[in-house]
Amino acid sequence: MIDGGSRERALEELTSAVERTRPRLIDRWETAALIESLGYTDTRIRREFGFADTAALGAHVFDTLGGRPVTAASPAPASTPPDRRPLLELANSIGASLVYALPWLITFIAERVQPDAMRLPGGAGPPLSLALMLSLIVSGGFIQAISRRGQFYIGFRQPGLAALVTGYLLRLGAMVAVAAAAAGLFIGWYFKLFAWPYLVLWADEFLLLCALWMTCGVLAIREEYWRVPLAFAVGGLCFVAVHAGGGDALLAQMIGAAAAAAAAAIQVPRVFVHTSFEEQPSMVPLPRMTVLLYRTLPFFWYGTLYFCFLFADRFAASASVSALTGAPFGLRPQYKLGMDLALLGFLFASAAVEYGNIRFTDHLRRAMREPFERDGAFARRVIRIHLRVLGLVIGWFIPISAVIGALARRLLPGQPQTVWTTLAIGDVGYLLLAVGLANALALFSLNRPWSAVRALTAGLAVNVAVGYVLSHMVSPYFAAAGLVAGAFVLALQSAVAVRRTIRHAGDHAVSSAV
Amino acid sequence: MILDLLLGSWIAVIAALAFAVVPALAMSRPADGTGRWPDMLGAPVWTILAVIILVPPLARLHLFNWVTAMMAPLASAGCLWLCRYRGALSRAFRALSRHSTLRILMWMDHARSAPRMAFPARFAGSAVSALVAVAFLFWMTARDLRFSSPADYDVLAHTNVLLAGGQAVFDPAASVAAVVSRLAAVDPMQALRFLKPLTVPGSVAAFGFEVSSLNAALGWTALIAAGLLSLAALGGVHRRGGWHALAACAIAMLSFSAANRAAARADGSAGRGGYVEYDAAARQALRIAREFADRPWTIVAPPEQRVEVADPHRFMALADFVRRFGDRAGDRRFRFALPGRDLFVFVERNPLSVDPGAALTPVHYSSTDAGYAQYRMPNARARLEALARDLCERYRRTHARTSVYYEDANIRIYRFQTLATQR
Repeated sequence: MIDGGSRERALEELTSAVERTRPRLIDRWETAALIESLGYTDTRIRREFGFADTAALGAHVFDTLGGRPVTAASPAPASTPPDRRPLLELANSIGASLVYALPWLITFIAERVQPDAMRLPGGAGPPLSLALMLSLIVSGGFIQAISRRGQFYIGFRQPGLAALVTGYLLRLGAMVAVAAAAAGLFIGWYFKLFAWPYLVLWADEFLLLCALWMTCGVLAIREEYWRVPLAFAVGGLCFVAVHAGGGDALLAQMIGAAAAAAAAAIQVPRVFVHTSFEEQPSMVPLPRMTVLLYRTLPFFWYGTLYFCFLFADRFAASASVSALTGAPFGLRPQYKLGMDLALLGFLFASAAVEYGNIRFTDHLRRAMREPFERDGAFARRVIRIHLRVLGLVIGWFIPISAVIGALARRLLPGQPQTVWTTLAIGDVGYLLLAVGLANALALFSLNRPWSAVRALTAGLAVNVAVGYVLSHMVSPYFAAAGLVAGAFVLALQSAVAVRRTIRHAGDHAVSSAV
Repeated sequence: MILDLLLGSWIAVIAALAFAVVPALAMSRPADGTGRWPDMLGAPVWTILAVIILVPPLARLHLFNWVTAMMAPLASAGCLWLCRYRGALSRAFRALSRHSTLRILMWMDHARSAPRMAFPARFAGSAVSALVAVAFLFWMTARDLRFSSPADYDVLAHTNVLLAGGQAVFDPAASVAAVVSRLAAVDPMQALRFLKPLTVPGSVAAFGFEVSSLNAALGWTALIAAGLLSLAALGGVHRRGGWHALAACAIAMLSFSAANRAAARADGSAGRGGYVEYDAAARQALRIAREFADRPWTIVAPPEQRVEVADPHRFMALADFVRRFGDRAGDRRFRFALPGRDLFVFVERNPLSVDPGAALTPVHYSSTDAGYAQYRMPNARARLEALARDLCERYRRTHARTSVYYEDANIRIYRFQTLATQR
């Protein structure tokens, strides 16, 4: 039994803990939930405080705290994490974007400087391009799911659980990739899309790249950004070595991809090593996988739709070349060059999207700690934060695209005007896509993941419909119009969804979302 | 024959899946608990109507490929779904997605522990019975690859145009055949050949009215379906019956209008049907197209083979061939000035006697040939075939690398290799 004095003290400590966690409580149910999250069960509450259950204690604490004045500028409690330093976050975001932008830039430069070194023999180009795009589409959803779930458990200092869950998702992703490869082989053979040797080559490259992307997704869980470039560097070295040894670009590419996948796989166990701050593995029951999968579905669809959106114009342009001229599936060189340059700008500028999301979350969290002055003030503040993030994204994207465009014009003289027109249209499309992605990430932060998925789906539908129809009706170059139209729909619908969430969901709902 | 049967079964399965099974599954059970059969009949009706309407514009815009061919049969189901949930689309879509997702996830959860289900013996019996019925149907109606009506060669030509893209041709049977050809990955002629057994009720009626073409058969089949669906609507069996009947009437109207376009230009004896080529000629034309797909070749034959090989640049009319090269074939220095490494000349040993009804049927596919009439008149055809045979024999005696590619009692196909381009 606990005596009355101890019980009073314990209750006071609990009330203070609740107050520190949430200075402004919404209702008694939220208070009860907070008490439960602090580790109090009904049995413990009955034993230590004499209340019937958490609901009764929640009501008591809420009534107690409701009578206390809320200080307008209460200092940040010690238990909440301090705001991260903006410069460090900016550097991290740039590092994260360089992971993908730098290899793309290096490949692009190599293609221009040494075109023969990158030229694939025979008709291997189209199937390998398809393998690259389809591997990102198929594994994109799993990369997102692995990354989100892994970070969730690592955040809880449970690397063992993170390893279990990501392992399950990896196995599931591998099964889906194998099934997709089998389906692709069947479709390619059945509809006579490619000859058998190229189909086998496609399947090889597809599976290899799926393994590489998903393993890279695991490496990104701890935000140790050097791991992925290390794997790519090993792959690049192998590519150069094989090529220098007399191997052709195809062999070098396959061995390079395999080496990168191996280098990534070797690092995976290190990601889940228990640091001194983390709990040692314990016999924690695994979450039910059906529930886990259902919870990760929005992230899965987001990843898949994102890559579908990114490559939709290239699919449409390649298919239209094939339909209009009877030539093999592939892009017109001018279109490819223009869109590659635009994509390069987008990859470099994606750091702003990442950084903008971090700032949005940080500002939102900071705003939550302060008491609401009057109805709607919090919502207006969140809207201002959101607008600032969008301004950051646009203000970052435009100079980078302009620099890349100017450099390309200087370094690639003699290119036809269609290249620069395609680049300009692509830049507009990717700018709108960046805005849409910033909005989508804001929706994820506001706990509205399905709104982000819905906006991305609508944008993709418009992208495919407009790009596919116009590229077949007019010219393959009009596939870029699909990108612009789809990105516009994405940006608009996601912006409306963010606004609606902030305005209609109410201050309390928004503040409890993060 | 076994290969024909397998091919026919494959096409029947694909056609059934695309036009009946998948649309019927997409069309959910009516909420009022009325009978299901009007929907089972209505699903293919709506699907065929959607295909007839969608395929020509898709082909015109170069958008008709295997992806859109797979989506076209689902268009009607999609439209019906949009119609049914108008005003609450978002909620209905959310419910559908959630339901489907949960079903997949729960299936994944239970798949590992679920006991293996045995295939019921009665299903095996039903499957065997269905296969026997299909085989019997094909044996009765599709033994020959060649068409029994000259108008069907027009449909084949239209199917080829739709598959090639860039032009819109409004021909209901051709639209359906183009979709089946794409989905089953078979030659359009095979798709058309096996569509005929699938329109048997209409074929019988069309034969009775002496209009023997696939479009007429499709129209009559749709009309019979419209009658049945009207009965269902009048008898209150099904609340959607009226709409289904309306769709069937639309198909009938479009099909009859396509069938009558040709008949309107003919006198009363036209349209009865009849063969205009030997079956072996059609089979060998397709065989050449398949076996020599990776090298250039040219076929010299009557105009039916032009639509069978799809690419008109690989075809030369027999009459033109005789007229251009007849007097020089025996010269050792002579070479055929035709594109391609292989030249296949189709010559009839026993000239085909075309039925008067078929001969008088006006067809579009051969109207561009100046000497079209001589293929339909027995004496002129016999004379042309004799001249062609003589030409080939003279060439064969004086040149190397010549052979007979195929021969039976009725036709002989000469193969002349390594053709020079000089005249």
